[in-house]
Amino acid sequence: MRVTPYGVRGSLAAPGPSTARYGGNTSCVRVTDLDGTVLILDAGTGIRSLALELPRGLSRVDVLLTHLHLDHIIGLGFFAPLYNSAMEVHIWGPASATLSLEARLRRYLAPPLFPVLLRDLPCRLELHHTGRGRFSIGPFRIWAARICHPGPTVGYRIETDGGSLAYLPDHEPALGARRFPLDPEWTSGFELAHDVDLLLHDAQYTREEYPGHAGWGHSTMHDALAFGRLAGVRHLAPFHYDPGRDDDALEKALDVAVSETKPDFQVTPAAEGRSFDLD
Amino acid sequence: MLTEKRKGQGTERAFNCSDTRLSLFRRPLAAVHFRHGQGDAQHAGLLMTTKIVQQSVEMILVRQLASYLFVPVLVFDTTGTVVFYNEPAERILGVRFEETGRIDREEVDRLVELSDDPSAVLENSERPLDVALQQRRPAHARRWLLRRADRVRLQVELTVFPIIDHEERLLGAMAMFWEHHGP
Repeated sequence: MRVTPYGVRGSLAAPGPSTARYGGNTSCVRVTDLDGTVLILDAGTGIRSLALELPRGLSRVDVLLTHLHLDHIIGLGFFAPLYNSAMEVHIWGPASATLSLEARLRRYLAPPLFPVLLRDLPCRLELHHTGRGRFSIGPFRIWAARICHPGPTVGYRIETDGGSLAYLPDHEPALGARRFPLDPEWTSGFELAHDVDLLLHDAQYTREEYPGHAGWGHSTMHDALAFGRLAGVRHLAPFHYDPGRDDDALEKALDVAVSETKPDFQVTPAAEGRSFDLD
Repeated sequence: MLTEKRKGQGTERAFNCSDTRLSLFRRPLAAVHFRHGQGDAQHAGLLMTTKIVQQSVEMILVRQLASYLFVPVLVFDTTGTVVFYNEPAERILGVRFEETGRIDREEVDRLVELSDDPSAVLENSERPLDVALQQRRPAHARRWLLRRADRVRLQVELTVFPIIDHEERLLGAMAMFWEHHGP
């Protein structure tokens, strides 16, 4: 399994020279297996360039949305396979208590926010509600479960015979906890991340910033590291960086978090185009 | 999936709650011995294999909310096991969550008893927890007498409501106790 981020910023795209090392696009990750099956995790602004690199002749692609906040779906309207009648596109994501996934996506893919209606897209489009449960796509065994973030939000655990990945880009497991982490039973996302080879996890804030943003659905870098330790992950890739933090500030903040928490696993900040091979 | 084996530790305590007339729970009460350990509550001397799985995020958030509330709150899973209670509820139960962890129905009955106040008319004769878990309806019982193991009497009102997720899956129930200080 190869995992390649195409967007690692949270909340808002932040392009420019000061974010060029890690990239300024919002959440989007490509996951491929040896047989050529392609999964795309979230449809942030990074999905536009991801589509340009899809192999010729690919006839099906699956987009797994964690939730429908704008930074995770804004790239959908610019995803080339949606406009290709030869393509089969499957979009997986959470419905809400009252609206289907289709109805929720229509709120974006419709005027006045977007000129093309969801129903007018020429590809063969199939939508799948993912609440909690397991399903398979090609060689990928996928487990979706609700995680702590405002609104219906899922995280994904993706496994092949060669490796395992947990993707929790927007996640605030420390919300309301008087101490964090608690035991595994009471920690959001634990089962998804338990013992994985690679965890991509929200690391939006510093500890100093967090009190002013509690309840917004994101983690501090320290909490991401603590969560990784609790879950027993082998490799953590901090993800979903605050758009206001340039690359220098990001590296400095991560250095502080790593030096203070002393993780017993590898930590590699996610960056656009930097792949992780899990086989 | 996490599987844990835990062995009982700690000081054994006993409570005598044999004269209950009306219980929150279906099962009859009896004088029993109950061991408080450092982990989950468990029967004295028994090695228990407990399959611990992560609670749903909804239940996790219910616990977090309960931990901030002034009123005593018990959080139940779908089987009626208490999976969390907050500090105010510790005062009612007479034990600390840190000491007991989860408590099953029988053990709750051993810790407390609920009886109707002879001077009051009950709203209905159904047990609130069973209404919440079996009928998926909120239930409220007034003027129930909660008797702690040390024989302290409290007049309370009890509100229990089911916790149901977006997909209409029953996850558990939340019980709130309101102390009644009036005549």
